[in-house]
Amino acid sequence: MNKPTLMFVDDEQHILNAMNWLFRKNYNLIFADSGERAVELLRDNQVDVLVSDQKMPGMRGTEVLRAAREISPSTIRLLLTGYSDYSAALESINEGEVFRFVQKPWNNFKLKDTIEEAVEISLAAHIDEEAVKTEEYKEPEIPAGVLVIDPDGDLKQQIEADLPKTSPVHIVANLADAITKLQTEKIGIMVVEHSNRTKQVVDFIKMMKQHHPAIIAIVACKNEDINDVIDLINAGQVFRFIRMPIRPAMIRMAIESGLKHHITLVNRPKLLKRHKVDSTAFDEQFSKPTSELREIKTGQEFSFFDLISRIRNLRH
Amino acid sequence: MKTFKLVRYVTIGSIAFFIFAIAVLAFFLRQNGEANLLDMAEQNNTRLSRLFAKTADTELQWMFSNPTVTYDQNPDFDRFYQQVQANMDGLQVLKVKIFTPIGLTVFSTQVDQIGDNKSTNGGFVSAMMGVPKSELTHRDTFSAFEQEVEDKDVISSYIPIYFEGAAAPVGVFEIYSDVTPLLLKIEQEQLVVLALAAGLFILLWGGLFVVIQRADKKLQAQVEENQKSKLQLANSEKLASLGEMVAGISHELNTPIAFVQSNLSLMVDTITEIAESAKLGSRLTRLCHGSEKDIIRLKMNANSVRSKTPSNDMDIEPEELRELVEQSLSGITLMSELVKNLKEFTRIDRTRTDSFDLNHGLDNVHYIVRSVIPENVVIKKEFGPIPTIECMASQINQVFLNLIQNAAHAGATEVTLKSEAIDGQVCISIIDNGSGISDDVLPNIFDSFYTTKDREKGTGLGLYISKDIVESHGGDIEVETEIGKGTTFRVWLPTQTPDVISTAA
Repeated sequence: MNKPTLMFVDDEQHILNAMNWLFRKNYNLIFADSGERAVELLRDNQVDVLVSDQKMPGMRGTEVLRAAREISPSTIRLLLTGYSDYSAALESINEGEVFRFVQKPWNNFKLKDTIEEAVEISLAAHIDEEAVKTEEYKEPEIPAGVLVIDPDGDLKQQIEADLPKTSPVHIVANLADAITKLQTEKIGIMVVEHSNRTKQVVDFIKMMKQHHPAIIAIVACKNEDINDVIDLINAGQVFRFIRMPIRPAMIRMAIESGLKHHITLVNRPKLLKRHKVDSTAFDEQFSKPTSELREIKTGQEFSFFDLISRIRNLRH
Repeated sequence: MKTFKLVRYVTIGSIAFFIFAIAVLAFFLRQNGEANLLDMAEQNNTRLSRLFAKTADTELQWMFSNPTVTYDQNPDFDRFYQQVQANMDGLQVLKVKIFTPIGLTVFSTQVDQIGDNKSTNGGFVSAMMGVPKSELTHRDTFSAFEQEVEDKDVISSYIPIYFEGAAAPVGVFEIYSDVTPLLLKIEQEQLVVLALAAGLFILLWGGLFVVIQRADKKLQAQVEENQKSKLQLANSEKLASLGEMVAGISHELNTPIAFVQSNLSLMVDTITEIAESAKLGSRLTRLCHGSEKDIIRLKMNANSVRSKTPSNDMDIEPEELRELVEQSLSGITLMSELVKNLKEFTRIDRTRTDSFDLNHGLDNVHYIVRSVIPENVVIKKEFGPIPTIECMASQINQVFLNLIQNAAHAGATEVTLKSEAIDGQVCISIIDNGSGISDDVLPNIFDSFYTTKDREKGTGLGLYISKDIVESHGGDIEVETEIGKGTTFRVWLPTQTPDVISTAA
């Protein structure tokens, strides 16, 4: 029987023991008590899912994830965090392309679900391994556009000079206009300004990812809140999280690699699963009657459910 | 901080100024009064001598035409003497003398002075050159016309005598006049002026005092305000480092909580399944002990039972439960160890000074600081044998925590905690291989509110408070640093601490 392989990295033996009891029945398990050991083992073993602790002496979790992305791109990467700082979270998104944050203490059932999901995605994507590595795809005939959602006009100022010349760029000030653009234009990537941290924007990103996973989301944010970041990665699979004010080359690099990634996703739909969002957490939120009517900036009023249905009905 | 004693300084300063000003005023008043008095007396005496020259023309003619002969040899002496006395009567004149151009005293109302030579006397010389000269002196006794007088202020004037048509003086008069009452009157006037001036000064100072006192109150209030805001910042520093510690400790606690929780919920699942199996087992046993019919039924159902219950559905074998419990227990041990260390670190239960083993304290700080500083910082311990010291353990712990945190903030990857006993003192060194402290920063590191960290990371009070704590224990902090190589902080503590330990920190 060929069981999928999980690797757990933690400097605390007790945690590794707990993981052993939880997963030994259905998976092959590899344990590493340090990041350095994990990197060694990754080179010699085919690993489907990697779960690393963040806080360890020597290599930290984010570094392990980054190394894993190089060594074994098809391995789905999860970060186990107790208390984690904001910059570590950003690092794991932007450099480690983390699939989920798992918070300590975890719930056994939920953890099993998450791992199961990760394994499924990993197995499905295995065939595309080479493709992920090289990312050589033919450019589409019509270049995918960039949609900038910038309610306050701050973002536009900071990134205007760095926006790509080869792709069409659309700048809108509110979500309603954004959806109109999404309906009429071919969009590959969204850059969303999220300094006001409205729930609406978060829901929009999650919703987009659930229904249109090939569209890449980049979030720019002034304020720092670790929970927002974790929420956006677990339920929104945000591609890059950029701190404002933005350094010049930063956004250009993010958009360029985002567009490449978008093309890869379009060409290899199986990979889309990798960006699957945590729909359970998400649906819980939508079942609450709190997402009633919301006013959207321009004064155009329409219900949030209307927004959701419009996202669902987008042709792409 | 020492407060500036405004009122005290202004009072002392203005009193000194007041005394000086009065002294200067008194000096000038006296100078001026005496000069005026001399002038006046000289004019009077000049007028008097002119009068003489006119009324005693004959006698004077005789005297000056016989310049070497004293007048008492003249038969007219007694008459002249009486004439002079009559002229002097009612005036404040005490004595009259007449000198010839060669300085011979040819006449004096004090007869025994007749014949004295005055040729070298300054006043005489000046008068012979045509310039009258006067001098104020105080005499305890003075021979006047008729009797000895006592305690007198006397002005003596040398006045040249001219005959009509002559260009040069033919002789010199010396007239002594009594100015005692005049001088007394002048002194009284001076006193009145000085008293007035003093009164004005006091009035001025009074007004000034009110102003200064208000200013002083304002100043004091500002100083207090300043101190209050300092205290607030010190508190916020404590809160900030507390926050950092709580975050670190929470994470530390989170790990055992996570696996204990995971293990326990696995155990619950396993126990639930074991209970199910046990129930099934007891039913089977009952059936086995039952009638023949039951046993047949059992055989018949064996197959369906087999198909219903999978052979092994459990994550955990019953015999592994023990291990799960043991793992969970060791998690709880980890947690209680953390709590014990926290308690020891804060020493909430002990607020007074206590005999304290610093090696033990450093172990404790090391345990706590592990969860606060980055994991890649290696902490080494080089503990030597040291005596216990009298100290406030919680404060001393705070100092070590602060120094180790600073080392980590300075980018150190290795921090060595070294303890040794040197010359009856305990020396704790915190040696790091961080970035070091540059020369322009070094002199300021112990100042309050001096920081090179971000505003959010440091209040600039850590080292200031640390130094304060160590000094209040009668100890000292030394620093040795080299850019790029690292910094060593040495904390020297005496084994006995002064009785008073500030509760500043």
